[in-house]
This record gives sequence, C-alpha cells and structure tokens, in this order.
Amino acid sequence: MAKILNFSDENLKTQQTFTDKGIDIQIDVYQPSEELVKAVHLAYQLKKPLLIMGEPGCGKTRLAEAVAYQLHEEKMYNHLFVWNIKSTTKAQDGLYQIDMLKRMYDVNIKNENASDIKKYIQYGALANAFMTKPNIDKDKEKLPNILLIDEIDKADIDFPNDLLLELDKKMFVIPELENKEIKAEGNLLIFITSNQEKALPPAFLRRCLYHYIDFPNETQLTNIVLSHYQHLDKEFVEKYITAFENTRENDFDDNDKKPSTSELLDWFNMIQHYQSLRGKDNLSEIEKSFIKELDDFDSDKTKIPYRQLLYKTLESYNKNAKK
Amino acid sequence: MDTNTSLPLYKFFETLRKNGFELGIDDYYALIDVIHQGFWYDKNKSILDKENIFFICETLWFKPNQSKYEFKNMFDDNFEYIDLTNQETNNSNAENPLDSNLDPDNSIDAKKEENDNLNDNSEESDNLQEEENDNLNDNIQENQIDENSEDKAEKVPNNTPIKQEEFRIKVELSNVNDKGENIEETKEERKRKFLFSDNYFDISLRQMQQVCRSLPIFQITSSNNQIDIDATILNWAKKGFFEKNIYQNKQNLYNKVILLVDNKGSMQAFETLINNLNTALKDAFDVGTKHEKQAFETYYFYNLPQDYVYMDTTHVAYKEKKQLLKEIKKDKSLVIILSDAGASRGGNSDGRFKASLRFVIQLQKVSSQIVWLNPMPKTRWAESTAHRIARFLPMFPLTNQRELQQSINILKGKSKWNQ
Repeated sequence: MAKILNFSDENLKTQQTFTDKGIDIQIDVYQPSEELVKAVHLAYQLKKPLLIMGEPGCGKTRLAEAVAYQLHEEKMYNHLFVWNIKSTTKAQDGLYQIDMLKRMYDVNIKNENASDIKKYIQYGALANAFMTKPNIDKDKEKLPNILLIDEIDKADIDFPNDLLLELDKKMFVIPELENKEIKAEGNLLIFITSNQEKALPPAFLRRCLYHYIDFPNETQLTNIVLSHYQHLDKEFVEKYITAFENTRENDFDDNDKKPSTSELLDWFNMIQHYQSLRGKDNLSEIEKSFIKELDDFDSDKTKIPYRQLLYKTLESYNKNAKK
Repeated sequence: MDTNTSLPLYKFFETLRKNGFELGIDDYYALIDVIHQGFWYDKNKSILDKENIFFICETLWFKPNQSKYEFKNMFDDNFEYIDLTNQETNNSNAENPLDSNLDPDNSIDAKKEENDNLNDNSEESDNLQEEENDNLNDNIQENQIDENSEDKAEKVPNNTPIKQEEFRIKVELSNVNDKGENIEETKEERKRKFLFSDNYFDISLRQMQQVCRSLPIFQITSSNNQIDIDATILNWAKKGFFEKNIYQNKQNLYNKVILLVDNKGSMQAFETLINNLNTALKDAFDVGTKHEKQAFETYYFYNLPQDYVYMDTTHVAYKEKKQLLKEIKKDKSLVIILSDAGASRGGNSDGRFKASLRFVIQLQKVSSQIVWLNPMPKTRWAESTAHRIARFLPMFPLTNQRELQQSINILKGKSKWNQ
C-alpha cells in the first residue's frame, strides 16, 4: 500500500467536511493508537480480514470510516461498504437476494419484466464491495475498497462459518444466473467488529487477524478530547480526564457498563458547552443549574458533573449520587 | 533440529500448537510472508526487532478468549533471532522498495548459535543471558540502521567478527558455576524446555470448551421462517391468486442442561476436572441474554442423590430431589451425570448398583436424554458398578475430546446410543 495511513497527519486531526451528491458530510476526528494502525497495515499486506474487538464505544466502527477517508477522501462513500449484522442475518443477505415474491406478482399482473430474473436481484454489501471497481489514485495505485462487517457476533454462531469461502477467495457464485461468478476486482480491506457476546468459531478466527483496542491512557484521552474541541485549554481538559479515569477505575463493578471513549466525548460536549455559557446574562434556570454542576466539581473533585452521561446503570448512578 | 534453525520462530509455533492454540500451516506461512516482504508500515524500523515480531505474531496467531499471559510467556521462552542468510527473498508480490533493506549479509546466525548455548542455563546466568539478548538486539538494530543510512544497494562490510569473540568469552564464563567448576551441559539438557502447565488430566479445559460450544440448542421464536407449504397452497387456491406465505407455528424448543455431579469421596481427586467441565459448559451457555444463561445448572451430591441435591460444592444450599425432577420434566431438560460409579476404587456393590439404577430410571421418566460421564477410562470400569450401570444408559469416559463429543452428540439427538 503505497499510501501509508499516517493518522498523525493533518487529515483527521481536524473535522473534515465535503459534499457528496449534494449532501454535506462531516467526518469527525479519529485518533487511533499506533498498534491499531500497524494492525490495519498488516491486514492489508497479508490480504486477510482484521477482526477488531474492544469495549463498546472505543471506536471500532469508526475505524472503517476513518480508513476510507484516508484512502479515498471525498469519494469515500463510493468505496466504503457497511454491513450491519442483526441477530436474524444470514450469510446470503450479504451476497444477494432475489425478490421472488415481486416476480410472482409481476407474473400475475402480466408485467414484461417478469421474464428477466436479473431485474429482481438485489446485491448485498459484500457483493457490492466485490463488484465496485477500485479507485485509482494519482500514482496509478489501486486503492482498496473497504468492507465493514459490523457486530458479527450478533448473528447465529454458524454465521461466520458461512462466510469462509467468500472471505478466503473473495468470490461467490450465483446459480440463478447460470453460475455467474462474482469476484473481487481489486484488493479489499475487510474490517470485522465484535462485542465478544458470543464465541466465534475457530475456523473463522483462523482466517482473520485479531486486534484488541485497549482503552486509551490519560495522554491519549487528552489528545482525543483536544482534537475534537480545539478551543479548550489543556489543563482544563486534564483535570476532567483525571476525574474520569478515577471514576472508571473505582466506581464500577464488573457487570456495569464502564464509560468508554464515546461517553467521554459526549461528556465533554456538555462540559465545554456550559463552560462557554459562564458569565453570560439571561440564562434560564436549567442552564444555571448545569453551570452550577461545573462549579461543584471545581470545589470538590469527587462531584462529577452530568453523571447521566457516564453512569448507565441504576446501581452505578446511585452509588455516585450519594457522594 | 537442523531444519528448524532455518524456519523462523518454528519452535514458538509448535509450542503454541501443543498448548491448544488452533493454528494451521497457512498461519505459519503468513508469518514467513511478512518476514520476507518486510513490514510496509514503517520502512525505517527493522522488522527483526523483537517487539515488532511479537506484535506480528500476536496479530496473526493470538485469538480472542485465549490467555495472553501464556502466549507472551511462550513467546519469550521460544524466541530466536531470525536468520535471513538461508532464506530466499520473495520478490514476486512485494511492490515495495523495502526489500532492499533485508540485507542477506547480516550474519545473525552466529549470534543465534550463541543464543542456543545460552538457553537453559542455571539461574545465575539467566540475568546475564537477558543482558546479552538486549545487547544482541541493540547490535542488530545498530547494524541495520547503519546500513539504511548508507546506500541501500551496496553490501555493507561485515564487521561482526569482533563482536562474536566477545560473546564467545561470555559464553565460557557462564559455563562455570559458583565453585568454579565447569558445568558440562548435555545436548539434551540444553534443548529441553519446560513450560509450566496445569494440564493434569487427559482432557484439557480448552478441549472441553471446544466441544461444549456446540451444545446449546436454542430456537428463536420470533423469526418463524418455516413456510407451511400445504397451508400456503390452500390459501392460494381459496383466494385465486398468490397473496402471501403462511408460516408454520414453530414451538419454542430450547433445552436446558442439568449437570449432576458426585463430588465427594472418591470423586475428590477429580475436583479440577469437575470445575473444568462446569466452566466449559457455563461458557458455552454464556451467550447473549440472561434467559439463555440460565439454561445451564449444576447440582452436587455424594455418591447418589438421596432426598436432596445441593447447589454448591460444599453441600450447603439444597433443593429437594423431587423438586428437581419436576423441574427437569417441565423444562424438558437434558441431563449429564458426572460420577465414577465406583470405578476409581474398583468397588462393586449390589446396593450401590441398585440405588444407581433406581435413580437413573427416575431420571429417564422425566428427561428426554441422559448421559453419564465417567472420569475413569473404560478399561477401569470392568469389575465395578460402573460397567453394570453402563448397560442401562450411555456412559462415556471423560478422558478425551472424542468421547466427550460423542456424548454431546447423543444429548443433542444427533446420534443414537448403541447398547
């Protein structure tokens, strides 16, 4: 891959906007760890899918978007294919579906289209990823299409095994079209995310590279927050991050949902918003009480503001309300 | 062993496989590919750096739900510097200018010999060895960084001979013990490597987990996706045109699994085995919803349940046997009995046999499928109660994965028990 993914580049350090088919699109900042970037490169080099696990909210799904933007920039949505897995998803859903019912209706009402089966085929995300021509950049390099299979552990335990041939050989066959072969045109970068709710079958795991996204340390968290909210002062951010780390360490049982990176960013959204309202006139009662929570925190570092954003279960919320 | 020295990290790969990591030959090939192509990520860093190699091995071979601690230990114990002098650099797929960085003149094999000698020495020399490894690492780094800064195409003059001598001296010192006597290490002693493991029984926890994973049998009631063809055709005929599919009423078939464990007396020796089986089954059912997690329960007793079964290993919290049988009937549970049935001490008592048989018959009245797991191998069942009971229900020795798989197949209804 000639284009090395330098996430430390200007590209995703700031929010990017562009227009795609008349719609304004905003790409948020994404700051991965170096290990994650290395894993992505390894997956591309070895042409194997990358299985990513981590706490909910650590940025697994956003990785694919960020990589797509790095490689394809404004054309990213033409080359990024997302397959959101549900508990009822079958492997066939990602390949193709033939709307036989519609065809039967058309036969009943004597529509001419009914004779051509091609008009009733709907291709899934996997098929589209195979069939889309790769993007060619200025150095005549073929840039890979990106396929994201999100939350693969939600489906049946046999589901990953049904995809083995497609993931290995990057091709599949459509018997209804006289065994037409659909093969991936260029290289394909496949990201698979999982929440560890179910054990994945070993035959599937063997074909993937595996990377676990560790929760970022204090410095990394500070950088993440600062890159989202550049107007904030570093010291200001650090004091909240210390409180966040402390509460993450101490106030949660194993069964509770610990706040992750996305909760942290939502929390800072509130904090920086009400911080900016300080000292203004004509504030409503609610706004004043929100600002008061920030003041309480300044006087006593255990009084975490906006607890609703961090504590997601009744037990952890009550535990901290009593402080 | 000579062939192994030219295969990088093969010992580590073998150790992983022996310890239950499911890796195939193509996993090993993947590592070779990366080593030959170089790691495109960072052209300046040497791929032969220990940290980088660990990262690559981890990403390629370490899978979720395995012990990272064991993996790291095995890597540290089996790490060897990679010798590129005998490798053929594979240029066909690499579109990358990195290939020239792999200087075939890097005589790392000399250092590797040193490493082999240094391995497996007495503890005093362990620290020495670590220092030397670090030195080696630094030396290799320096070597390559120097080469990178010069013209990549030219070969760098070999300046390692001096360093080799230094290492040779250090090796001789470490062969001397406290008293100053020469410790002559036999080749076998040097090559022998020990890995601390707690696999005492023939079947390990991991093997159990692999088999038990296939046990939970749940049906999702919400997606009724079985078409009742007769009803659909009938509907079509009535209406005169095709309106919709009619789906079958699928019953909610989920099977609870009850594990009944005899855990006192002669079964005390099998405590670890009992715990492992319990863990393996719990993990298999530990999916998604709480509802599904509750589909597995364990009860304990001594020899045979009289009137009560117990919910914990110390036999404190109890449940009446009658109540348990009622619940088994209601939930259509599958039952696994784990007991030696006298096979471990070779006891053959009529009384025990009759009581066991009575219990089995009680269970057979309420449960669709019962299986008896015996921790002793089949050869020990003869002349004991076990062999008599085995005629009345499927009994399997819990000594290898295949037998456990067969018992699970019977539970699931996939195979029938031949008496």
